Amino acid sequence: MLCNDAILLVHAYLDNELDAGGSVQLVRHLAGCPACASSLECHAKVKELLRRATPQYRLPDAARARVLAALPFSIPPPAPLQAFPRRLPMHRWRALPAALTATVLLLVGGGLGVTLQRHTTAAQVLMTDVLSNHLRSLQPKHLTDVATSSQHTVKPWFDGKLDFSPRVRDLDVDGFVLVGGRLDMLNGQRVAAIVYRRQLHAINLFQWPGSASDSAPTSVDAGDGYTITHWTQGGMNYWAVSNLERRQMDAFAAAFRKAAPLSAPVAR
Amino acid sequence: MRSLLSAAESARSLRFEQQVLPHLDAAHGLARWLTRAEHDAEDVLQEAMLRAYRYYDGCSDGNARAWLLTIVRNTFYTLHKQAAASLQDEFDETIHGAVDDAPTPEAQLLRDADAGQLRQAIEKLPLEFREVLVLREFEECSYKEIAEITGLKLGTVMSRLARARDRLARHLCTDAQGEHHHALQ
Repeated sequence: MLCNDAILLVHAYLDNELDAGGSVQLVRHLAGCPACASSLECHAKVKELLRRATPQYRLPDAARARVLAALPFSIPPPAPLQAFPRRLPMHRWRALPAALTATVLLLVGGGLGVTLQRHTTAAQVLMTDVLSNHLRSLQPKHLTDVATSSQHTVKPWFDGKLDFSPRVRDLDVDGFVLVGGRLDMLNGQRVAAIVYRRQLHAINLFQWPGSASDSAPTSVDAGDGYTITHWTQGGMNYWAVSNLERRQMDAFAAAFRKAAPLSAPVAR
Repeated sequence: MRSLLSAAESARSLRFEQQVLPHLDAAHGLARWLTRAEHDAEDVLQEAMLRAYRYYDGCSDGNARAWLLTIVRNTFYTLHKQAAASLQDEFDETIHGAVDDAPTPEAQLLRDADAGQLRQAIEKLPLEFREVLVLREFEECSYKEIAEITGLKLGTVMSRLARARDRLARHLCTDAQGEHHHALQ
């Protein structure tokens, strides 16, 4: 392999765009070419710098308002916190479970089918609300009630506002920057929304006390590029949502779970 | 008939709000990096969002973000014709190869730049390198998406990215006195 080709593969490798065959070829070349190996090291460091320092520009709130105001339709104002969340019609992904339940109803009939339908619908409604709350939070000045990158400020802020103490973790090292917290409503109850950012993508992590048994994270494609990830840990329900790719949401869930202190002593 | 039309229009507005508006920050980011000035970025963003709304048909292929970024880039080149004229011909690169003549600096020479220094270094890059770098690093586009957005061949995207990063690395180097090299660009 020529160095000119290897250098392109170095970048593809750093960008996770290189297939297995390419990786094998690249590794073989790097073993015998100190110049390309050094180039890989340099560019990995630049990427790390970019990830850590995030030299991005934020859209100023005033400019956002002007741009939105110029569009030929008006965006409804954010619903007040006390009200039950506005539900966006998501007919597309509600239709599938409905069709499935209809089939189940036909097959088993009677009481069992009805239970199943109620169950599916509750989960779907919750997911719709998670996404709808996320979209609403992205409107100007609505993302955080308390804006800070310190977990020691976010956590006490919730004192007296909730009947539980939400868990806030510092995930900086994993590339998820804590930006603040917010009170929100889900399932008809007050929940904590902890807000993180990765690059320009906001992640809302909703949490409230729930099931005592732990469950591993499961991610669902919620359409239009949104991913919803759900897990339970230490008696807390977690629902995370953002327009990050699924594997990044999996990484987020893994980082948060890893950062959490163990709720029970480790069995030996 | 009229109410039918307005019902269709408001359904379209709602889809636009759900599919396209969440990518407003991404659109602004690209406009900001291309124009290098907040005021110009807002003009580009404004015009791009109006165009997006006009041409919006439900984004049948589903990738609303790449679609919007394409509009932002096209709008930028329409409003900044001079910038467009300065673009290097894609054809050139296939002759000149993937890399600049100067070697990539060693990792130890890179200084620990903060966000402001990184911004400066990136803004010094020529437009054709800056746009692919920004699309990859900040908009987190795949190579395929970058090719779609810029209308470049995949190979050209890769070679421009390589050269953009080489130059960026050199901008971020320190010499013995702790000053940066300005030898290139």
